[in-house]
Amino acid sequence: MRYPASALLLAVALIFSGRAVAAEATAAAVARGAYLFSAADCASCHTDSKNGGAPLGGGRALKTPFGTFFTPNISADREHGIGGWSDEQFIRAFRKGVSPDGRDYYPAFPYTSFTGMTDRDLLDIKAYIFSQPAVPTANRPHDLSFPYNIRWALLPWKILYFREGPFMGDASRSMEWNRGAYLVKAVAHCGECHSPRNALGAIEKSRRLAGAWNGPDGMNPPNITQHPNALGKWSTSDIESLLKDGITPDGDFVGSGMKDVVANTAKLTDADRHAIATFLKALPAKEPTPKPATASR
Amino acid sequence: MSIGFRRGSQHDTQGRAGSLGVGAVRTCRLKGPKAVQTWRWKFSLAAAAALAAGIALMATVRADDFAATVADRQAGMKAMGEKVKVIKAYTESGASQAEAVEAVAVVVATSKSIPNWFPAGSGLGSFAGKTAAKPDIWSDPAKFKATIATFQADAATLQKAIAAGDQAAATAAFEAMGREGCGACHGAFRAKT
Repeated sequence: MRYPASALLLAVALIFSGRAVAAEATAAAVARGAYLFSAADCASCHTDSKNGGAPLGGGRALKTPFGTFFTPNISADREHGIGGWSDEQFIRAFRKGVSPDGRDYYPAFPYTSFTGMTDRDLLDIKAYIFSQPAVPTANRPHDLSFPYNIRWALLPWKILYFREGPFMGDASRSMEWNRGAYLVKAVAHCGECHSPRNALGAIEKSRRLAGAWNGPDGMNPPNITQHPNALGKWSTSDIESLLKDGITPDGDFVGSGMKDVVANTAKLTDADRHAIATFLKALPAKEPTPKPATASR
Repeated sequence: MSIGFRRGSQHDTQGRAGSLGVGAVRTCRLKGPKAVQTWRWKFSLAAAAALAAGIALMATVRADDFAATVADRQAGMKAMGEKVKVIKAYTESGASQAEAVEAVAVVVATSKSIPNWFPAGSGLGSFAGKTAAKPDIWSDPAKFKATIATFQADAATLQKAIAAGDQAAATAAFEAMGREGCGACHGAFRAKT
């Protein structure tokens, strides 16, 4: 009788230790997710901080030339947020830009960049979001002008402009460069604001990261390529200082939308900021996007 | 009165061209009251014109004042940026404390001047393309004042840390000032990055 008793004890011990391992894994995922959540700058759009909205509750107005988007609630609330989403649904939203009920997302949600993120990074972000308080705020419909309010038009749009797929590294480059490229192109989605868009809201590839006029909320995100009037004269440590403290080489402090971004890039590790700077310093110089006649300023 | 007389003489000429007697009499009779009326009319017109010109002149002067205000504050910000660079160098290396002391004094002084740099009407509403000062400065003055007050407090803290030669404290204070002072203000009240 001694053996079955010890076997039972062993089984119980195994179950508990299994749970402990699972809990530890969850805690690690949440911590990684929190970090990536900052790197992906999620809160800047999905928290209506200007009007005192709860974190992840959405509702922030994003004024664009196509109309006003109201960001959705991405908290773990089952009714208004994403609390009912499965892992597969969460990955599909980021990788393919498709909602759990099968609708195509507007590219205001930058799945065009997020599509390059790894499954693990995405699921860790989900773990972090699900560890945060649910916010029972209902979503507000977007207020878009014709023809942008025709949702099915997103299908041909995607066929034209959206390329699904994971981020592909470059083995001939350093680890730092590759990490920086992954952060800039996929996670931090810098190009979504710093690139001009055509009349259909798609990024003009030839001018990617060369700056934009008529950006969201009337902002004019500058050229961040290596053009002499852009970041050409900045050192990697200049870029790192900007991402850490918001300070530019001429002693200015960034404002506008970049201030919110810096609040998040300040939370990154020195190594990741260095990786971003390394990638940006390796970019070819591009002429700044010319100012269109219809620019706000 | 000279205007009235000249008018009268014109009437005289016309009178002579027609019937001398009647014309002369009519001119004489009309000369007094009509001249006065004309004078009054002319005077009020001139006064109105002068008033309008005065207003226009004042507006021009105000606009000139504001253009100078905009130029001054941009120069002031740029000058402060130069000092900020000196302070940043100190927080990174710990060297040239004396220069940082001098630089932070300028930042502290500037922080006290800034409230006077933004008179109503000097924003991008009137000076689009020349200034990035958002209308929020005047529509939300409480927040603007509070942000400047934070900047002033942070600059004072930074000054103490630099004076004490405490590089770590100076670095922390410098970052706090950049985030809560400079950055917060630029984020809420400046229209460009």
